[in-house]
Amino acid sequence: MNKEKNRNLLHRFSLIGNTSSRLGEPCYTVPAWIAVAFLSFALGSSLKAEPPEVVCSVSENEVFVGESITFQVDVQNAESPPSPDVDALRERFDIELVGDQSRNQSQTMIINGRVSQSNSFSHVYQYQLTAKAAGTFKIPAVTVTIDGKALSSNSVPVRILEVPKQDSVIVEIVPSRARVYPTQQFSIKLRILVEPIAETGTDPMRTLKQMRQNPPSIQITWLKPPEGVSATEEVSEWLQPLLSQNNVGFSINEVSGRSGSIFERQRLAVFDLRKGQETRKGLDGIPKDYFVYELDRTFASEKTGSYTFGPAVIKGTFATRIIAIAPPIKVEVSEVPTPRPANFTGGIGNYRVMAIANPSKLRVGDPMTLNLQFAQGKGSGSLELISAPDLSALPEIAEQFEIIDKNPVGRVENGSKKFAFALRPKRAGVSIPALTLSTFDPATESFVDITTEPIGLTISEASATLASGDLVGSLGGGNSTTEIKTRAEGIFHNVTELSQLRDERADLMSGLSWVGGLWLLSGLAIVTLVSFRKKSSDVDRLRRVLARRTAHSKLATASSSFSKGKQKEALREVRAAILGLVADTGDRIADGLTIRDLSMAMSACEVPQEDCVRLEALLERIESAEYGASDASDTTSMIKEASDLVSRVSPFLERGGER
Amino acid sequence: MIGRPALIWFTFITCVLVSSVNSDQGGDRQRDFVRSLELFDKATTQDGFRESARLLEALLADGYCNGAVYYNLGNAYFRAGEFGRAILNYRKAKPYRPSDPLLEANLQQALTSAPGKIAMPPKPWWSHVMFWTEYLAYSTRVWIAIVGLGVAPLIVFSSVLFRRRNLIWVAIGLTVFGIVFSIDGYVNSPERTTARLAVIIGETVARKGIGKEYESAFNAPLKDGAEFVILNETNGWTFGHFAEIGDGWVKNDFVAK
Repeated sequence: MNKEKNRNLLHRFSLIGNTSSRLGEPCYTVPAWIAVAFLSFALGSSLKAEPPEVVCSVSENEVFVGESITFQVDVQNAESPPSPDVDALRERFDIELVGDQSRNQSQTMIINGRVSQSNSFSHVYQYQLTAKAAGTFKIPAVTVTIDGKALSSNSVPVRILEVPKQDSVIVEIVPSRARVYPTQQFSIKLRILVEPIAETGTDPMRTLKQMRQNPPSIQITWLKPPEGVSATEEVSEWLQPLLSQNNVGFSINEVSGRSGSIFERQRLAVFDLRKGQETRKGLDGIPKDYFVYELDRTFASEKTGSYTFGPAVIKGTFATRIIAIAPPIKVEVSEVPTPRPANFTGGIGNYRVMAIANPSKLRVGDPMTLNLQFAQGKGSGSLELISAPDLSALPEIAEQFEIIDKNPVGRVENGSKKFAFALRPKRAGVSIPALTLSTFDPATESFVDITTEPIGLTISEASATLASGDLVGSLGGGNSTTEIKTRAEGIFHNVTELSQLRDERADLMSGLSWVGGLWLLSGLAIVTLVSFRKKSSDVDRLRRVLARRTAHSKLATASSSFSKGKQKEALREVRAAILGLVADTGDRIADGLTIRDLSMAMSACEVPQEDCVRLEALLERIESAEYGASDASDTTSMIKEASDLVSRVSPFLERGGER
Repeated sequence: MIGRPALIWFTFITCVLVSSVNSDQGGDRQRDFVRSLELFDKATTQDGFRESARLLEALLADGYCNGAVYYNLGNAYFRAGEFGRAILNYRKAKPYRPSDPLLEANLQQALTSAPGKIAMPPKPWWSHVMFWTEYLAYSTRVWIAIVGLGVAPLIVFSSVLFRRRNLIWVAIGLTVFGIVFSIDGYVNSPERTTARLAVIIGETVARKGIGKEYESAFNAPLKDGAEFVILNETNGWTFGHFAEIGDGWVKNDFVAK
């Protein structure tokens, strides 16, 4: 029971998924596939180790003749099943494979360290069935052969209704071309002719209220182009300009529009396709006026083959409930016919070709480039079709030039395709003649010639050297600043100045190591300088350092004063020298120093006792002499002794001062 | 008297710079260069241009680097019809002659003529920041870096010596300048850039592995002038990245580096 329920649910979601996939509407696809995956998984779990099974379903159980339904075959519990055999259906339906998809699921669970794995297998095939005849019957079972065993599916009941004959609404599919060539564009036009209201002669689409409330629907098969054909516009780009502002028109497949309210469900979009009016004979042979609606879409063919567009179905309540079906049409994409000319480039449609030679002034044997540029005309196939023409097949080129690269790769740029051939002139005086190439014109289904303009070249003998004036792109004021963007002729001359031959190797790393050395030396110099300055600015130190020199200087002054007969002045100088020495080395003030202070200072500096005693005695003698207690010979001896004592005690005083 | 060390340093640096710039004026090199020019002018065949190219290749064999020689070498290969080698040598000349319009014009001419031309990888973002690389030769940029970084300590010393604090800002500016150009010199050194460049000579098929038994890496053969960046080299094969195409192994016989 549960299994059956799951199957029904799968069936319903599959229909949503399939329908949206067919219509190219991704808004339905994601949730539908998530649901399908989830249910497939759930179903797969329940079907674990169950035998293979084939389940069929249809998108609708009641359709009209000519209308299509989606037929789905789901092969379950088989890992890689083959395609089902649907030949039994061909009697009543036209069958087209839409696609297939594997929905295999695998799940690994680890519970309390116990690993368990479950797999579910499902492979879905989708077909589009178009009913050929009316009737109520069962779609016969399809068979799938798995492991040599043929499995049959369930049969699905359907009711095919005859389309009532009417001429109120006529629908037809009209291709712009029944036969095209690869990459050529063509359009498919759906035409809907609606009969006016008999009483008023007005358009029922715009007059009848029920048609606004419930617009008729169009079902077409080319919303998603068939494989091998591409649409020139995406669905949104194509349909957006056709959106109706007043809800008058048709809905197309399940293309939805925007809802005005967040509480409202998404509504189907309505498109206004009105084109004009047309007169056509009705079923009774009497001409009738119709309002014409058209839906036109352009495609480009990618591969050769036969492509089906349709059927198209219109359903809606016009004056009465009406269904109209347009039978499908085919568009053939054919190869370009053979035999093809030797100079055929592969182009299909209208192209222009231009030749450019560069350089135009050169020597025999010099390489030159011949650019062939193909530009696309209106209604032409892709430029990708055009391949490099075989220049060696053109005697006017092959005889005069050596073709270096016979098959260059083309580049598509700015709507044109360029081929650059490298050539060398074999002799002087030759030129590029007009080149005749061939393309295929699908309108006339014949090959047409396109021709380039001839190009004049100036080709000198190989032994002749180009003069400087031959070099084009004159620099006009110096090479270094002139930017040359284009140039019509050969390469520029060599560098000939020997002064430019210096070795331009630049070893950054060795340079940086030199720089590092410089930074180191600078740092050392700065440290030395700062240290020197610091010492230079120390006044106490300077005084101490200069103390001995100052003392001797004063003693010299004393001698000088004594020689001039200034005895007392000389004695003052001697006294000042001794006291100054002690004051300077000990950072003291000389004025006011007593013999006792002197004695203490010398003791602190560890001056020998003998010298201390001698110095104190000397100072006392000087003091006495200043008051006239000595003669001239004493003064001379005092100066000598003072000089001797200064020399002896200075080292002790200086060391003591530093401490 | 206090400024004597700075003067000595400055004199020393100046002497180093001048001696480096003026060194290496080999007479043999000049003779060979002139000889190659003569061969080029007299050449009437592709082999004649190849002879000129061989002489220039010999000049560069001992590690000597010169943009003019690379440029002339590109010209010789161009005339010899070897567009791939021409492109390679023009590219090698580029760091030494970045603003030479003749070099750029000849490179474009070679690229146009080369049958195998493919797109080169886009320039890295920092090349737009270091815009001066388009105007200054590599050696100039290196000297700017070294001089900037070398003069900066002298300025710092002078600042201390002359008690001019404003000079510190000059030194900082020079240091920043020198560091930026040093980074540029490292990132854009020819050893790092052109050494990884290679070009296809002749026509060959890139493989998915080392050996001809491997299937083709691309859907068409590579032709003369297809440039690529070397990713790996082993056993006579080079693994390269071809812009907008992909990666593949190419036999070294068809690769110019």
